[in-house]
Amino acid sequence: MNILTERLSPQTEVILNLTRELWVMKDRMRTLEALLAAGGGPSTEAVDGFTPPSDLQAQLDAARDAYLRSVLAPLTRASAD
Amino acid sequence: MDIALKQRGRASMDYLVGMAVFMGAGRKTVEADAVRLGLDPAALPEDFAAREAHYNRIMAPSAALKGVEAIEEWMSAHHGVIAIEAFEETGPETAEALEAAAAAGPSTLTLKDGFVAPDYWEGIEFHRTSGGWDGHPHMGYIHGELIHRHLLNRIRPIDIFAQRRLAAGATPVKDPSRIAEFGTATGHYTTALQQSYPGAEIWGCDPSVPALKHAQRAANRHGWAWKLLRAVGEDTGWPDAAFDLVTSYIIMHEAPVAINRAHLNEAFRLLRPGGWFCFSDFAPLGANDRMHELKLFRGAAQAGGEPWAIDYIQTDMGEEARRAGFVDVEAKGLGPNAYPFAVMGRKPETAE
Repeated sequence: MNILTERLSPQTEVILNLTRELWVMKDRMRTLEALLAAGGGPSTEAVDGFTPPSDLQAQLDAARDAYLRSVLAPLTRASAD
Repeated sequence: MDIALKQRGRASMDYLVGMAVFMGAGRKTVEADAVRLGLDPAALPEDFAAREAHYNRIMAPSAALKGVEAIEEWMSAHHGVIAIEAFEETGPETAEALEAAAAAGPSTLTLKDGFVAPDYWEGIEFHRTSGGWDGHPHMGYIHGELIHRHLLNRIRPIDIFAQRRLAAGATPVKDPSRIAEFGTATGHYTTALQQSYPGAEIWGCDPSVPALKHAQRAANRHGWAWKLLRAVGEDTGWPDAAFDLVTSYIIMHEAPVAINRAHLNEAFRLLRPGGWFCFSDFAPLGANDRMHELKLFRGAAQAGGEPWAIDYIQTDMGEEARRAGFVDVEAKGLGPNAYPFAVMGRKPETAE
């Protein structure tokens, strides 16, 4: 085990990666809500009740898979020692 | 040149700032743990390796230290990757604008054929840059401006140019007509040199083209005619006895001791008789208290992306300068905590 792995375990790296992604999303949600409110767009309730159509669902599936590959990579990284 | 980051890049840089703020609070807990665990700063060994081992042994029970180190390591490993991602998210027009800015103005960038990057530099991820200083075609902008503006300045706003002007004015040289700089990088110190000596002709070298292009943009933005060259300080190819001042800033700790000696020899060759060299950097061991030195350099070699720093802080560069032939050698701290620490000396007149 090298010094860098001692300092940051794969599990902790996953947590910090996820925390970043979560913050990006929280920032984006607040930004969107502010823009929607300012522009007379759909309400928070309408977003809550929305079911994605099939093409959007396919996009979400692909984005989710890429997201999980990115965030969870440290758990499957080859051992350095 | 500032660029407006897209939402993901902006929020990710904000996250890095938040992590740094969080770590600041964590370090206070580490300091409290040090008191609780009986760490006596006065009992820290002089030898740096022994000092690190002593600290690690006493602090082993501190969960806060492990947590802070984990976050530090994540920040070190990810900040460059996140900044590159934020840069690329802005689209190809950003890179096009940067290229145009580098090309428009009085400065020149010379890339001689046959340049081979030295082993002590090539592929080393200094400062944990992702891929090293040449790891991205616009690494100079990404580290020299984007990270400075969107991360470092927001964590601890300091006037980096004021620090560099302090170093630029450290020698008795009053009105140099020509200055040589080793390790120009993105041009921060070069800017301070130009501000300090508006009439001087400035020649700068560095092995990284992305860094030099960023320096060139800075020069062109102000109308400064810097002569930039892709080269290392130990082998510039510049003419003998053609400079009044040969200088560098935070370069000594980025090179092995043998290369620092070679820099002194090259400075001696480049200076006209009576000219001065001045290399500034972090202070060597002994200039500050041992705990402060430990905070600065603990884990620097691997975790901090500074493979040569520990050798540098244990080297008496003043003595090395005397061996290289310089006289009136001085080595002293210029600012708080002896930073920047300048080593300077004069090339004797032939008759001396």
